[in-house]
Amino acid sequence: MPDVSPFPVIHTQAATRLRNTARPILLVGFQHQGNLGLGYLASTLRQHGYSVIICDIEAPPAEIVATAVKSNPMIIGFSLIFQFYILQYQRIVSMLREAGVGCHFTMGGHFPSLSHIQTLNMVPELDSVVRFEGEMTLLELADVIGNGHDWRAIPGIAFRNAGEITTTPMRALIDDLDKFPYPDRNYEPETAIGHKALPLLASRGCARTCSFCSIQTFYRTAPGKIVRTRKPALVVEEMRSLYLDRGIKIFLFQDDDFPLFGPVWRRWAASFVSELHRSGLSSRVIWKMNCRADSVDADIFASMRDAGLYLVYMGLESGNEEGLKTLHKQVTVEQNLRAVRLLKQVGLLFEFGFMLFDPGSTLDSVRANLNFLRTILGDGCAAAVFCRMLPYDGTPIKDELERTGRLKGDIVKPDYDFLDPRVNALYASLSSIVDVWGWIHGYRALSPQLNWVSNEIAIIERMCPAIPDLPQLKQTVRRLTRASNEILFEVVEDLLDIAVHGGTTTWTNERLDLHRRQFLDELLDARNAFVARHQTLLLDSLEIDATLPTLNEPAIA
Amino acid sequence: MSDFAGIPAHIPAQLAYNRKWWWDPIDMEVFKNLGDAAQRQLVATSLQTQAEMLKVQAAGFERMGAALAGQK
Repeated sequence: MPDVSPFPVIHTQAATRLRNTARPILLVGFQHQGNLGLGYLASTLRQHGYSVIICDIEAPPAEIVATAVKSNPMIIGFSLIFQFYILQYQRIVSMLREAGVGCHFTMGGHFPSLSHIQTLNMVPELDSVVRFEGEMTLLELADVIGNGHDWRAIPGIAFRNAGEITTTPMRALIDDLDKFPYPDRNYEPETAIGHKALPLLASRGCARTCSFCSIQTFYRTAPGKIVRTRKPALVVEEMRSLYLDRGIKIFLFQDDDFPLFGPVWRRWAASFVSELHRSGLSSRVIWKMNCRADSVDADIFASMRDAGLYLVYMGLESGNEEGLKTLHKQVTVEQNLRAVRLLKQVGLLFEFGFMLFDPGSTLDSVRANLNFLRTILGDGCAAAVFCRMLPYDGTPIKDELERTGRLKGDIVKPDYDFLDPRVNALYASLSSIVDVWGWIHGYRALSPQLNWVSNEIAIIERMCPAIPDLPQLKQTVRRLTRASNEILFEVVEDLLDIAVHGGTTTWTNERLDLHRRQFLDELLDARNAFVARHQTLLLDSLEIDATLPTLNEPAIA
Repeated sequence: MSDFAGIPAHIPAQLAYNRKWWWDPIDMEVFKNLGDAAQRQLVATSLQTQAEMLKVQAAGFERMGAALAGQK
């Protein structure tokens, strides 16, 4: 199988290329909570004269097919974020071809970039795969197809050629993110306690090497600088325009790892904070970001809090040293504990990712993880969430499981067994007793809803701090969170004891469901009664203050 | 209440509980991998709701029928 394309690769500049923009480009992808990947693709194409239509992959398939038939696009680009979605894409792609849509089909995203052979084999109707950062490749693909030239000569793609899968030389990662137009956000923002929220990016890439994550592989495989940051002043300028034009007051930074680690990125963060103050936004908007425990530092986090940071998502992932080594987190349990302590001291709300089970799990490591969760969540500061690590494509841990013959399942449901059969039994009994969907993960689950009301409280504290009985609501939510966590921990502990000593549990799905419903009812009763009491103040806080200071030329760092 | 159904009458729509709509990476992965069970639960809940609605409708029809019979 040839590694590189036999077609001569021609590098051309987007600015000088002729293009035929008569037919639109249709992009199909996951649109929930705003997809910045699709947004950047769309805005880049539009900047160069193309009209772009975006369809949500979760829309009824017949609707997507009807849009494609009606709009007669030149290209349909499918954005596949999560590999377990591939069957859904397979179905829609087949339906489109059956409906007579004959244009170029391409697919991009993490999974197609790293597993282009599987992608092209599983979705044979695709003409090509756009690998790694797709903006410039998709634009060039459109230009070349529009002009009737041979698209197989452009860099950054994979395709089938005479029965074999071929790749062209990889395209380097975009060096200067500030060259991109703002991403397309042509949808109604979601709200939290009435305040509008939108996602944005300050950087791309992740320099870390966690074994369970394909993001690092994505950015390390493509040539170019792994982590790139935007200029702080230009990030703030984007926030300012979204605040003034669309009334956005909550910004959700989707960076893989917000720029904080090491002296260079600390300077970046300090500059971002100072730009927020200079723009007048620091007292008018709030923001959330994702980071690791080893980035948390009291001074910089206090300064970010004063500039609007209110919520931090941390990938803690494990509460035992062996687990952290298996996951290659390169942090210690003490660093995780310290990060949580500091965030609490600084007064920031936090949420976290945590894998109670990983491929190296033993009964002792699960117990250590449980004790870790009890330590950090014993005060009810956040609701317990945890999961089992799953070996996705493009991750070192999947390769390791494959190498050692432990990988099971398929692309849609990759799986493995634990080395100790008692851990398998523990996991199976936990899954059968705890309705994970009802308690831990998903739209209707208890823990996310407890965290959501805490999130609303944190927003009210920033946007409407004068409400007198807010501390009482906060206390109620903490009490409920603490009680909910403790029940979950008791179940895990009971099953752990049974795995070690034998016996049967008194916990049942029905008993837990009763608790869950009681917690939810009490939570929503308390929340709604508070909102009803203070609705005038809360509605007033939704107003936009358009008297922002006039900015001179931004002091671009 | 625990099904998050509807907006309480005493709360303006803007301030209604908008259950958590963003998903952190791990949530999302697990959420999708639990899709089958989740789908079953969603369908079950939806069918229960429909059944409740049909019961209410049936009771209404019964009352209408009784009223019409009384008019004859």
